[in-house]
Order: sequence, then C-alpha cells, then structure tokens
Amino acid sequence: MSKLPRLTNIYSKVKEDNGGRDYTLLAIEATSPFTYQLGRPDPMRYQVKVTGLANMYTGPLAVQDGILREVTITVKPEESQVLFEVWLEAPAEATVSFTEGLPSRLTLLLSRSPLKDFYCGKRVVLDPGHGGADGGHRGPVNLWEKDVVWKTAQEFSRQLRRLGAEVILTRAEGENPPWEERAGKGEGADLFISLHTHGEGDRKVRGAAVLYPPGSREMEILARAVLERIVSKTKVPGRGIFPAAELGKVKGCPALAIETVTITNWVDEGILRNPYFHRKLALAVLAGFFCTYGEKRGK
Amino acid sequence: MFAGIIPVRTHIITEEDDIVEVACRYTSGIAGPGDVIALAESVVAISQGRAILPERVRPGILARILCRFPNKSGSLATPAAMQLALKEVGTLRVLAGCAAAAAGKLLGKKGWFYIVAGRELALIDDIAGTMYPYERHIILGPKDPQKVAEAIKEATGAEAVIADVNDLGCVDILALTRKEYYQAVKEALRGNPFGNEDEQTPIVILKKFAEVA
Repeated sequence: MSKLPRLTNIYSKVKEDNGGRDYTLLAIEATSPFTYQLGRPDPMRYQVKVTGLANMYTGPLAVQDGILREVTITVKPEESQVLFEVWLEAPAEATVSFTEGLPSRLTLLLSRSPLKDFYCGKRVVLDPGHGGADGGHRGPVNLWEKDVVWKTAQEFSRQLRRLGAEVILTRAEGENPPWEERAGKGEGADLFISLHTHGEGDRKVRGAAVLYPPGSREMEILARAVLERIVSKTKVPGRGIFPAAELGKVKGCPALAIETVTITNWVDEGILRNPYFHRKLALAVLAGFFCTYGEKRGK
Repeated sequence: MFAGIIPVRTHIITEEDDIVEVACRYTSGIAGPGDVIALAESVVAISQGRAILPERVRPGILARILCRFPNKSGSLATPAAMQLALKEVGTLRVLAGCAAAAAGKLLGKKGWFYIVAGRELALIDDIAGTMYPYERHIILGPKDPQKVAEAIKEATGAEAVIADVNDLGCVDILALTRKEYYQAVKEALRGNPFGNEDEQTPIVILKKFAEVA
C-alpha cells in the first residue's frame, strides 16, 4: 500500500493572531507530513504543489473574503501531485508554516492589510432600518425586521471597527428616527449602508436585493457588485438591484440600502437565526465595496 | 484514546449517493481496523432521501397549532416540520409529548417533549437548519442508523459511528459499531469536527494509531 500522504481537507477562515491582527488563514491537511513547493506566478496568485494523493473532494474552494477569492485544485495522479492555485482579491503577503501531526497541516496566513488600509480612518454610517414602535416586516415564525437588522448592524460595526473604520449608527436599539435625520448622518461620510429585510404577501418570494440612488451609474455598478458578493457568499438568492429615491437624500457619499433577505419567507427567516449568516453578509458587503469601489477611488 | 481526528472534505452529498460507497471512497487508504469512521447524521439522512421540501408537505390544523409552542430557534417551529413530526411518530405520541412538555414547564424541567414523543423528533432539522443547498429542506433523522454503521464497518474494516453534533459541544451518538468506544468517540467529536459553517467535512476519521494504513 502506498505510503504517500493522503490529502484530506482544505479550509479557510478569517483569524486573529496573538497581536490582534486579522489574517485570512488557508490550511491544507494530510494524513502525514508532505513536501510542497510554494510559488507566486503573479501578485494575485500563489501556487502550492503538494506531493500526495487526494482523498478529499477536489472541487474549488470559494472564499471571497476581500483577500482570498478562491482556491482551485488540480490533481495530477501520474505525478502523485496536487496543485492548489490560490487566487487573491488583493495582493496580500503570505506567511507559511507547517505543523506535523495527524493531520499534518500547511498553513498560509494571508495579511488582510490591503483591506485594513482601505477602511482605516473611513467613516461608515450604518442605518439599521425601522426601530422603536416600527417593527418593519415580520417573519412567519416570530422575527421582526427591526431586531434582525439591528443584529446585522452590530456585526457590520464589529468588522468595520476591526478594520479601523469609524462607525456611526443612525439609531440606538429602541429608537426610530425619521429618514431625514438618518440620511443627514451620511454627510461627510465615506459610505452609508441602510440595512433592511424585504417583505411580501407571497411567502414564496425570497432573496436579497441592493438598492441604490437613482441616476447614479457608479452606484448601480457598486450595487450589482455587492449583490453578487452577497449571493455568492451567503447562498441567498438575489432578487435584483433597484433604484430607491430616498437614498438620493444621502448627500455627499456613496449610499446603498441592503435588503438582506425576504423575512416573510420561511427559509429566509430561518437563515436570519444563524449567527454565521450575519458575519458572512457583512464580510461579503465590505469585500464587495473594497474590491469594486476601492479600485476607483483609492484610499 | 485517538491519535488523530481527521476531517475529510467531501462533495455535497445528495440522495443520489450511496452513503456506504461515499464512506469507503473518502476513507480509502486512511481508515483501517481499530479506527472509527464518523458520519454526520444529516448527510446519512440526506442520502436516504429524508430531506423534504416544505412545499411538498400539507400541514394540518393540529400541526399549525402545535408548531406555535416549541422554542422558535429550535426545530418543529414551522407547520411543515410539525406535520412531518406527526407523521414520523404518530399524533398520539406528539400529543403525549406536548402534555409532558407542559408538565415539565410547570416544574421547570426541559426536554420532556422529546423524552416522551421520541428521540427521533429531536433529530429533525427544521427549515434553514442545515447548510446550503439543503437550507430549503426539512431534514428528518436517518433511518436505521445502526444498520448503516454496520454496513460501513463491513465495507471498510473500520468501526463506524453516526452522530449528531453541534457547536455547543453536544454529541448525540445514534449508532456505533463498537460500544466500548462510546465515551472516547463522544469526547473526540465534542469539538464538532464536522463543522457547522462552510466546512464540507461530514466524514471524520478518528485514528486510533498514528500510522496511516
């Protein structure tokens, strides 16, 4: 029987190191220590050639966290080799380490400094919709829009603060200020994100949508990019992008309204109970803004 | 007791898959006698065609009423899931479970519903309780898990376990081919190596010895 290492797993997550810095961790695991060659054919791609046999599923690993887009895997059985192509979204530097054990693990720690450099010092206004006596839409079981968007806003806020951004919330948990007051907080900001859920009488309708100020081609492009990210990262279907006149009242900064799901749908309401959903959603939106809008305007 | 815990990345398992063949394929050359192949109960159930789309279920009045009482974050909070529970164990057992739950509530005790109505109901994952692409489904518990575990043992030579594990450290062993491993397996799975987010590792190999076959 072959003594070649058996590759068993690949995964990625955003992790914090001992110094409080965030990294994108990419790990490749095998049943015993393995030899590998690490290359960087261009700034946006690493290649890892591993000697071993693939027991694991070798379909692509989609990540899309603003730094790592995906990893594609090619098996070369005649050479007992597996090639991992690590496609980046930003030219991030990698620190490599190897741990022997069962499993043995090759780890690439990709710096998230491109994302941090982009957001650091930016003022981001988060507008959790509704609030107070205005509950917004209600899910078929029991969730209210005002509560779930508050939870989503907390996750956005946590991630943005970790990236060094200044976060302004348009309301406290029990408040419901008028739209004019909320929109006014966008003045002088770098980004305004209004958080909502959609609601329909038809319980079959589900999915996310992104709304943008009418007449702005730039915001339309951003809205489309953000929606694509949400769909890809959270697996919630997209309902589309739509112009929304009220966003025109947010002056002087890019503004989007995100309908994270359709809360009146049984599945979408259930998804809102999953804490990972809010984290993935925030990551998808912030990565979408960084990868599209960031390139146009720079820091 | 185990020298290593090895999660194995798999494809998305569907009802087209033969779960014994899947277990053989992904553990080939790794798991041998003395090792344990652990499978997440939900993928065993999915491979058995026990992932049900709620639109295929017609909840009756009783299901619509009863689904209002369980914890909303848990299972059986939707009429469709409650209807499937009624079908799974029968109306009488569900009603008896409800009576027990009510009594338990008065006495400040939890979990009496499942003790009376049936453990299999605790295995039902309601809508959005399972990862993509099964978040639209209600997933029932697996049928005959002990038979499945024995079939995996016969096909691979390794021991097999089917378990329901969550991120809170709760491990429910549904089937195990070697009873004396019970506590060690439970401890090994407590960290939820199956994952509960984007991990695609419903098969985990618990290696008894450091050497790989």
